[in-house]
Amino acid sequence: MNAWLISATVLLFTLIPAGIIAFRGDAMDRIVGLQMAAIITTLSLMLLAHGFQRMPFYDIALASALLSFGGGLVFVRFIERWL
Amino acid sequence: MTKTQIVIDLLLAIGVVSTVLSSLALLLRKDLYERLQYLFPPATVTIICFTAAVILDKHLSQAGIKALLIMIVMLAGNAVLTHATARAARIRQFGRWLPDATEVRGINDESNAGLNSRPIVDSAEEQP
Repeated sequence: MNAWLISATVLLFTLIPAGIIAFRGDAMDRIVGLQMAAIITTLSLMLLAHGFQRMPFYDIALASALLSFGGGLVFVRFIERWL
Repeated sequence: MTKTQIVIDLLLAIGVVSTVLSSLALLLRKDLYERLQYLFPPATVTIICFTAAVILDKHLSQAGIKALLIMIVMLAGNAVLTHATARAARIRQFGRWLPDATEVRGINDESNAGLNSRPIVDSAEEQP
């Protein structure tokens, strides 16, 4: 187990506080928890791709970064107008 | 262990510690706008450290370029997303985005904009 995988494992534990926030509070607090979880997931995927020496797996992290941005923006806009 | 490996490990450690602290701070803070502040360290400090570590390890290979792309997307995207979230929260709270001329920040601050401001109509209702 190298430093990349250890870092990715530690990062995965930081999903717990983000998950706690995403599961309680009002809609806006949940959105913030979701955004934090998306950031941590992207970072973890990037570290895992490097740790396992699978360079094509970087595409998953890139897709996660792009989709979490687009999805988050749509979600926030929806909550702003209709909820 | 080479000097490059030490620097890589240091960058990874900085990134991980930054994310762990931000995540805990996110949990401990109760105000939405304070929580939004803590989205920035993982999306700036951590991703820059990790990208630097990848580039130090693999140089500008396929991995390095993809790490750079991820960094650019996260740096730009998170700024926009945080702004949009704060905007949505303010609109949900006040019913509008632009500050009203009657809004004040606090007791001694007479500036006419700010997230902690309250519409003067609400303040007037509270007065006897």
